[in-house]
Amino acid sequence: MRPGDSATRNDALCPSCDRFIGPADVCPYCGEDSARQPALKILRRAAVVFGLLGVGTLYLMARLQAIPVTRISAISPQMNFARICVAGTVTGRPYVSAPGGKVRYLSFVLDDGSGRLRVIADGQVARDLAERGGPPAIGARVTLSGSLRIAADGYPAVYLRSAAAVNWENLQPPAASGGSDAEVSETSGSLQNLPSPAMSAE
Amino acid sequence: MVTCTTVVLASLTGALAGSLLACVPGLHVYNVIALIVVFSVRLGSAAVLPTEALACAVIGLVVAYAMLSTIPSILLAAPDESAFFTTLPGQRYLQDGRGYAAVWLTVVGSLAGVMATAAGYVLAAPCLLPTVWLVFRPHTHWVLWCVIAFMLLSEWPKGGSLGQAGVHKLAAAWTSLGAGLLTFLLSAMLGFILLHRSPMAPEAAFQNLMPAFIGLFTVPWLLLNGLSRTEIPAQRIEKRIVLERRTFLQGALAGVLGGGFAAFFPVITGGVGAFLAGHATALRNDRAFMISQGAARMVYYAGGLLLLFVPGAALVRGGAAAMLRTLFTPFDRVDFWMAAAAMLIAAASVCLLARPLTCGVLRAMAVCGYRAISWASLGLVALIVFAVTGLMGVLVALVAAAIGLIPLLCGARRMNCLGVILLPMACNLSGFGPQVAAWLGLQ
Repeated sequence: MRPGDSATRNDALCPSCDRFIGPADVCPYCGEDSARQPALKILRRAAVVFGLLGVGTLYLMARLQAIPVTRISAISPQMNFARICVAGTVTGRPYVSAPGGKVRYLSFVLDDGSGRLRVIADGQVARDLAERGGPPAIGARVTLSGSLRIAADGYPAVYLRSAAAVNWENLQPPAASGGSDAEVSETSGSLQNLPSPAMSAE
Repeated sequence: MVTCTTVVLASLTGALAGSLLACVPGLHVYNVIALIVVFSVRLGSAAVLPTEALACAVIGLVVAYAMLSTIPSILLAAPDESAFFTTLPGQRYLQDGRGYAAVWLTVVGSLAGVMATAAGYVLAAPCLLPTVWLVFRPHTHWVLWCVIAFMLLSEWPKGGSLGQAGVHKLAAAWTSLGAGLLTFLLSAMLGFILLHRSPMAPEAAFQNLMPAFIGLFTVPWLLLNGLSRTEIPAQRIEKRIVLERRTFLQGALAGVLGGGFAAFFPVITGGVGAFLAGHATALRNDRAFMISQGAARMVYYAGGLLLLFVPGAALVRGGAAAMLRTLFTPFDRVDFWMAAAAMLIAAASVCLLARPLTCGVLRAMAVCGYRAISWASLGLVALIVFAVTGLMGVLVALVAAAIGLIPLLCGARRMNCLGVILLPMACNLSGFGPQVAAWLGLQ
């Protein structure tokens, strides 16, 4: 016999009908409440209730909470994988990879005055963004949210999760374009009247 | 350029610190590494301390944790009456006064894991891993779905065998099954929230899942220990433990298979790997089971971390690799050999510490009692969660703790709590994670 066996056997019997009920809290024969430790029984019910309510509360908080706007200079390695919101201006020509005419990947660089980061969309998100007229052109004012990834070299990038998470306003005053794009165009959510971004077919 | 002295000193320091910290119940090595990363970034110590030294220290920490965290998990995991019929072999040994022998068996398993990891890492990983990963990469999503299906379908009813037939018996049978499914679904929902729209501050993002893991796995264990009325019998320190060769080989093989599977495939943890390997090799022997647990943990933790150093592959597996990568990037074969050396130095030193630390914990249990140690550990864990993730992290940990208590109190598998990462990641790897998040309004 192992230590504890005798105590366990007594505990395994219903205190009312004296039949073997194992670890059950309620006797399956007579229905007697035979919980050995009532605190655990209360804890079991509380765990289910708090689990359901807690997940519900976190869900509501997550849905209702606005994603805070983050300055690019404030990004640190600890923020890797964070969902962030960034607002800035597109600098440099956006890059689009469209092998066979099908957009697979696009990226552009965003500058908010404090620093720069690359914004990347791939797969369906890239196609959706292209259908919306993206990517934004040079000089466009962009507000977007996405997942922050910090590469091993410390350079941050934001991966878009949805094309709807990007809002932009194309503004290209003559001074900003340096004279190369003389036409001043201002569109919102569309780039149809702008020069197309750099394309590459892989 | 890193020197041999740096590698040896950093590995030994990591191993020593890891060995001591591994004896604190509920304290996970990833929490310690998170604190190291936080302080390294805040204080800029990465510029002062060579990052190679930091990498060696982290390897030492992980190896020590993989080998010695079984000390508190066996000696301080007293099963309550309600769980007595579903206890693990280590807990049965503890109830027999043989906790020391149980720890010794898992340490032997860990040593087998170190040997297997070193052999696989040095001999096979550089030439095979890049190709193997290239072949398996497109298949990870369905492998993950199979693991989830097996995990849920292999849960068996713990009640319903007694009493009158009919609805009551059916309901009793479904209590534990339903609790398991509820745990899995609630954990998965928590995972979707944390991975897609975490309510925590962006500064805590790299430790996004830490409060959830602590809440799901650590807090319920410590809480129930504190509330438990079970008395742990006096433990005896056996001078000679006989281990049959067949038992050792069977346990080691199952552990290495399970740990290797978990280390290689993303998201799958050491526990899941050992569970699958145990089924695959029909492991029934208690001693072989404990050896397999030790081997699986070592291969999963140390092997997973070392995959980061494999030239041409550099796979990020496990929290330690993900966090270390924020401070250090392996470049060449020097780093590859440095990691192998650090693991072996750490493993050798930790082996020497296993006996005195086990005896020390047994003595502490006799003096303070395991309930007091559990409450103190609970306080320490809460403090760490608050320090790294703030008040919101504590709230997430509390919600997760409520979910983690369900399987413990209802007789279901604790493994169901892994839904927190398995389901969201399976959806992401299958390519429809963002759509599911959008349906849930978390996009």
